[in-house]
Amino acid sequence: MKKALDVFLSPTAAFLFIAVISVLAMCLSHLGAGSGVYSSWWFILLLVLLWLQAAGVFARSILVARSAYCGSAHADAEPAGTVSLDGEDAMSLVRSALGGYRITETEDNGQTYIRAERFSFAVWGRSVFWLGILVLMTSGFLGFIFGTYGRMAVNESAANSGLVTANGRTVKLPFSIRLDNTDTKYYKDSYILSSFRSDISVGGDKAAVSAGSPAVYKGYGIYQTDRGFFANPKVVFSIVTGINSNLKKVDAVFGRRFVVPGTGLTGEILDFAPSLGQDGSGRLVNYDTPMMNPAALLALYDPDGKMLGTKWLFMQYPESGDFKAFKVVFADVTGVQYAIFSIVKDPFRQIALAGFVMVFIGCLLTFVFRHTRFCVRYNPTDGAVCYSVPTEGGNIKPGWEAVAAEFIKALGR
Amino acid sequence: MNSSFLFGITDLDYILTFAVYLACLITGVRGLGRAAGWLGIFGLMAQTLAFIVRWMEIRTGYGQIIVLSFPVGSLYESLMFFALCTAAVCVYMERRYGAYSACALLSAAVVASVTFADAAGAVRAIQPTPADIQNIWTQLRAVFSLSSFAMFISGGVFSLTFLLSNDVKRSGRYNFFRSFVFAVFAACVAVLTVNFFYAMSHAGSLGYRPLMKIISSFSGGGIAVSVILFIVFWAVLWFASAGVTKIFVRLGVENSLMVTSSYGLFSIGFVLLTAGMVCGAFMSCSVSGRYWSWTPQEIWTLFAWSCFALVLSLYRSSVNAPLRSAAFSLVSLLAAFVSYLLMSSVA
Repeated sequence: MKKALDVFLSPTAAFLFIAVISVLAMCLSHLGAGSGVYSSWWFILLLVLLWLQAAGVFARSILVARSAYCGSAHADAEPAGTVSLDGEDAMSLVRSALGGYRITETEDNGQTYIRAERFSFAVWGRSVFWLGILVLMTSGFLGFIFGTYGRMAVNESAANSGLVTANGRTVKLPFSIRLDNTDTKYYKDSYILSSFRSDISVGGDKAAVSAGSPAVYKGYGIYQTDRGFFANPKVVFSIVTGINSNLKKVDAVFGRRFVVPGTGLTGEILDFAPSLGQDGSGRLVNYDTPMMNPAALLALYDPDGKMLGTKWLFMQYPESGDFKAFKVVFADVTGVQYAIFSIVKDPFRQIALAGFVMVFIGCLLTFVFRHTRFCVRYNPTDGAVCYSVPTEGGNIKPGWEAVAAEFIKALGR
Repeated sequence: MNSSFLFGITDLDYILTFAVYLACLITGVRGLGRAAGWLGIFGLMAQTLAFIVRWMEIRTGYGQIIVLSFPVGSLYESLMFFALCTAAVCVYMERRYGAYSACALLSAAVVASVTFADAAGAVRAIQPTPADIQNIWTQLRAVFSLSSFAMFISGGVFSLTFLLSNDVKRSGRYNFFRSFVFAVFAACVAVLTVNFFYAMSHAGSLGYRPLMKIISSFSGGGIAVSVILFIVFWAVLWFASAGVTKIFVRLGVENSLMVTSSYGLFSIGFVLLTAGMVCGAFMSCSVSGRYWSWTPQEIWTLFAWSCFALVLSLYRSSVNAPLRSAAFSLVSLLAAFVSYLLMSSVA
């Protein structure tokens, strides 16, 4: 039983268990399981088992660290190597070779024992690592229980309060989100998004959501994660028009004419394309649904109501609406885009992030600032300098050869 | 002089470096190894310059701030950065230890990376970073993750060299196991090569072809022939093991150096991968408010992370069995690699 527990509470078994859980999650992902599987009882049970295992490994790592920190290990260990030094300055040579170390010297039976230690704080590396894992898992679990997470799609000029959670349920939020306007911009001649911004009204307050800048309302973080286009006959076009010195903003809709101030002319929007471009033969085509090159087809009428002609107005190219004597500029469009918001309320999120940082610090302490300690015994009668480094079964542990080699090199041997 | 021109020079230099290292491995002439080392240094400098030029090109071309313009955003740039890190390890190991046999294998990994970028039809043109992920965490995550995988590949190469450098009896159990591990490794390289030529024959129009798609396109007979070929290859390796070992031993690299280097590279890689995961959590938080969402990418990274943690744990706990640890490190590397290909087929 003890042996089985020893195996279960070893870091190797814990990492193996994490690998098994991730393989299982990968298989579920392959089989097209929804994200709800990760909140199913049996998956949570596996995570609880992992938590218990990590807690055991953490407790054992503290015991190991305490013995390494306080004990006088290796003082009588088998020497890993011996170097012969002659002359009276042999000890000062040894001391200078251990320059970066904290040295403690003792004398016994005419021999000098030196205990050298570096980065002694790093013995806590493994404990910090496993504590980080525990903090991360615990805060994740608490966030799952007490937090709220889901996605919500909102059309422009509409409001929504239904949040779709990871397992497909719809939860009603204590407030609604209205999408007043959303604006997306793409790099020129590219499908890559250059910027986006959504103006929202949440619980009566106005707020803006953009890349890396969420809105926060009553502890809920509102992030825009996606966007798109939907067909809507009630779309509203924002048109700036008039003679050059006297421009006015008017709202235009399908089927209703607007007046071009100071000209006696009227205009009407006949068609709309979110991404208007040309095909290989030069014909105009709408090539995609995102708002990559929005264009509105304008018809102009004389005072008698006779159509004078049509012209495409491009939002990105205001000069397309320049008629010399007057202008009709397509400034904005409302009611054809939707935004998908990720809404998160997780009071334990900062703690979980702290857990991530702890895991990283634990790694740094374990592998970069390695606790290095070895003992040197100097016998002045034969000039032998014996040094010992941590060994296991007579072999030097991996990585310690470099420490020993560094010491021998510093001795000039 | 633009970055594409410099990257082109780098590609040619790396291919030449690999060829000279290969000649060194076959002939056992150390002078060739040193010459390859200098070629590697030239390639490394040219590629570093190419990265600096590209960095400036992205910054001026799209008006992004300098920290968000580091060129690791596209598939092409990420493969180039991976090659840069691997080449840096190769140059360091050559200058410090003269580990020519391992450097020959490492330079092969560098060449595979740069040629795969072209074969897979990765777009060489400069692409801006999408607005959704324009933050410092995305950049750091990419840099840490790519450099960590360069370290893991380098660690794997040292493990492989260690396995191949051990002179053992042909009939022994170890040789049987060693030739199997090497055969699996070679089979994976062969599959990647098939992938490479397939992509080349389609002029890059198909893009990246994941392993699962290639396997699923095989008929029953094709699979049987592949299995037979694998067994034959394994048997040949088993019989020829003495010759292979002789090639590696001739260059006279200490086995303990291989084990220490492998462990050291895996350690650095693990720290970097952990840093990459932490940055990924912060990035995800700034984009969607969640630090972990069980996405395929996150799951794959967790799997790779646990595999490498397992390797390090085994290295520390079984110091008496470096052969076993080295073999397991290769198996882990393959597992992480295959899982990546599987995940990419889902994506």
